[in-house]
Amino acid sequence: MALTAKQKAKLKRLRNRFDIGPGYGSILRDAIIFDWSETQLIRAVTKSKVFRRQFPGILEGGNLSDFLTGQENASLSASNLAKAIGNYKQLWQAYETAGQAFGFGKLNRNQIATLIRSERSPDEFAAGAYAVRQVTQNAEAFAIYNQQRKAMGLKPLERKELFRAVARRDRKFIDTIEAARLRQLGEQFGFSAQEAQAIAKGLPNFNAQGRPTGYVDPGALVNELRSQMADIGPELKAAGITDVQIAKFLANPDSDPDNISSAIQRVIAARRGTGGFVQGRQVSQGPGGGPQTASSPGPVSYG
Amino acid sequence: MGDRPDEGGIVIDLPGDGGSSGGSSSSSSSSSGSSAPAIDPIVAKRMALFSSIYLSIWGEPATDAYLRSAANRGWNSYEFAVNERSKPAYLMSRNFEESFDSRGSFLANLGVFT
Repeated sequence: MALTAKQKAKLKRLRNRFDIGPGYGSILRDAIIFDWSETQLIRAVTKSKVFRRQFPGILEGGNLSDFLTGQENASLSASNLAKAIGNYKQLWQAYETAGQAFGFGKLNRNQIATLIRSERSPDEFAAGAYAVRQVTQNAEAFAIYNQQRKAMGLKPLERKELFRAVARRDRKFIDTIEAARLRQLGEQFGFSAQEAQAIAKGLPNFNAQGRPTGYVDPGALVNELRSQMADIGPELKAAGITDVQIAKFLANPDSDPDNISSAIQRVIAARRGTGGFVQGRQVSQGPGGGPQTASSPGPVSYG
Repeated sequence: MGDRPDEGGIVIDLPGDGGSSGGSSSSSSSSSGSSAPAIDPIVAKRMALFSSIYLSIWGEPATDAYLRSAANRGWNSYEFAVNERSKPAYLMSRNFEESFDSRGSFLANLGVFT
């Protein structure tokens, strides 16, 4: 239908009431001419290029994203669409805040879509972005990180690839950052790349469902390790327990992968028998019968 | 329902209608003398339906000739209404403006327009 200048001006004036462009304007015009129901209008809007450009990642196939609606295969109802859009806008803002705080700057639409499609919570993204910042804050840290990747058979990562790596649900990526940090911070222990990776793997940054709970900075682990080794290191060595084993145990005492808790308890019991004080977290038998650690009441100095 | 008909193919240009120059038809009504041919009851029902639709869209009555012509084409009421609303003049009407605002507000409330 060819429109006169006057008719075009009228349409533009109507569009301006909602501050929308010709894309949405033509959908509204069709909706009026063909007397679409609300459902038909929503379907036409969500199929449109203008909507998909505005909210990339909001749809999975033809349905609204499960991540945004909180339900599987949510129908294209008005309430579900409003919920998805509301969550989309909130997430966008939260992602941007995290991205700017940890060096990714202003995120573009494709990056937002990647995070939403990967179902990353803002906290997860912030934890990943923080982890990346730990290894990109200076050239030395980045070099150690890429050495770690190389040792693990991974290609060195370019800085521009870091966002995608953070956005992906990639445990190895985070483990490798933790391992690189562990080697850098705990240089005195001389962990090999493989040993550091094994220790990092034990850090509980994924919950039982495999969902990331965030990057764990190995700084606290290194401090704990220094504290314990300075105190009962010789006895542990005499008991045949290596630095790597004790580090793996401290990383995740619940797992005790090398079954060393009983040996540690014997060392602590022997030290207590002689009236010695053992610094840091103390290993004891937990309520479920397994080992547990608890902070000692005394002062702990982290070196 | 919901499919987009070919707009160019359905806007009728009827004698006495003034084409699509504004949608209002002339108000001359045909006199129904004893020599007037009998109207098919179905066509008569359609004319009544179309008359009401036309009035709701344009705010004035259509001529019998216009309604009869549309009814004789076999259109249903939806096709007739789409034909009327497809006329360029409809864009200038208050009816269109109110419909635009109503649907626009609906989408704005869902958060579609940022």
